[in-house]
Amino acid sequence: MKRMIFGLLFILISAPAFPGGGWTKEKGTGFYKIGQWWIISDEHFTSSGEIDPNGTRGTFLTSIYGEYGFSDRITGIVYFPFFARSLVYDQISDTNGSVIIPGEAINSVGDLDISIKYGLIQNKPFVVSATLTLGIPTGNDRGGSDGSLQTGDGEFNQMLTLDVSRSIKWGETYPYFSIYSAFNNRTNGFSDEFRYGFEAGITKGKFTFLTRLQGISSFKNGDTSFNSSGTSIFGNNAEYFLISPELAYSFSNKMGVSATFFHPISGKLIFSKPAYSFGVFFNL
Amino acid sequence: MGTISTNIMNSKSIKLMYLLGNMFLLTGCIGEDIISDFVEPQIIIENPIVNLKVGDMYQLNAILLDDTGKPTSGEVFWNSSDEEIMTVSENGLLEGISEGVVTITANSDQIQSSIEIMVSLEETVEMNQRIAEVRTTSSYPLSGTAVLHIESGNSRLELLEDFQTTSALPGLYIYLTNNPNTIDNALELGPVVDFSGAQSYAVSAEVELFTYNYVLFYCKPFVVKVGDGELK
Repeated sequence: MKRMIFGLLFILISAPAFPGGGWTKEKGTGFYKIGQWWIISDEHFTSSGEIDPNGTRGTFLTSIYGEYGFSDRITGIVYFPFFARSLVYDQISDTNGSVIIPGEAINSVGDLDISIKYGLIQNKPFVVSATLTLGIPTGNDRGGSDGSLQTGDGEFNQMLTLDVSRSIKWGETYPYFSIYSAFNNRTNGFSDEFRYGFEAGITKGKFTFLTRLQGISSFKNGDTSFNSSGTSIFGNNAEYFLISPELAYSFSNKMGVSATFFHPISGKLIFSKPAYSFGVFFNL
Repeated sequence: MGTISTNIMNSKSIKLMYLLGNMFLLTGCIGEDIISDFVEPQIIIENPIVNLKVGDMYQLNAILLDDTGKPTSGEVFWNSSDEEIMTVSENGLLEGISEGVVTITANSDQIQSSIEIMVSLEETVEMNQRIAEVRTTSSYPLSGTAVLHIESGNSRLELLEDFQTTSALPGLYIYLTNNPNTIDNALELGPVVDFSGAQSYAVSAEVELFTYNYVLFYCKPFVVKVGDGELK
């Protein structure tokens, strides 16, 4: 059975999985976010890192994200794209206007991420936490007429992340910095991954501005050979380096909105157009 | 006061949810990609021969292609440059009359196609093989030699030992076509089964040697052409 994964979707959606950096939630408190994430791309990074065109594809995820402090050191995290839509555009003849290849779309849920974060070092200048994330393949990995419309990657992955963060006083503000690295163990023939990132943010009044630099490197230890269907696992060995600035506005201590722009700087086997997200968050 | 704040928050929440919902509806529609697929209309003589023995008869077939490479209907007129050497009927039936070389022309509505045929005492010789040097039209590596063999019961397209592409391409399919810009009206031979080396793909018995003029490599999931080669 052919398996083709369009990498950007399944990589970028995990970006908001660690908004707390090395900090855990206080016991009994929670952070929740309802968000819309989407990408429409008519080009991609090839296996050699160049940019090639492709028929336009789009993916749209409506998700709920939640963090809850079970104790001051243990935070539970759930990310669930409860509505996911994947589509490909119609291919129209420039010569006579006829439909060469009809577009199509699928709707389903996406892949569920469940994480548990443990605060290794808290209440110190540098805080450190470790997070275990389980990627549950609840999405559709073989949608559409050729199996290439997907809202999930069809594999159960386990990722271990180490976050280190620090906040400093700067005038009347407290900017923060975080770095993380992660090992993502993937199954079903997918290569394992090394993930890394840097995040810096600052709050001024009701606005918070933060920027992330994130990357993924593949261990290239998965299935790379063609099978009898002539297909390989696309998105396997996907790599990227991106910048994602985010602006949040808090209406109150309990609620706000945020918008994020994901711009891939370089990559392999991944969409090259930017992705966007918009969300409403609650601190409860 | 607390009640008022809660009401304001609820009102904002509802508006934001509404905004979020509308954003989803606006971005989730299937759009259109416009494909430049124009090619010059042409007549193809599907089954030309090199030599016709004096006294033998041979049926030529011609197909008309429109400006997207799609077979279309229309009357085809046949002409021989020298009917003392070879005659051709209004349906394309050849008859060798005497030794010599003639040009047989098929034309229709200002487009035409010609082939040169020798009439001799030698046995009639049909062509059965065409070769294409395939090349990448993308950033993915793809190169090699493709040979189209048309034989009774064993028509096939062979990629020779020098063929190579990349395992990074998903859903790479191979086609025969008259429009290398699109898979519309192309004949799908199947998925590329190996990313390097010799391999063979069955071709329908209905396909003549010149029915198609290009080998096309197309990535189905990306909906994009990856490479091609003109059959010569």
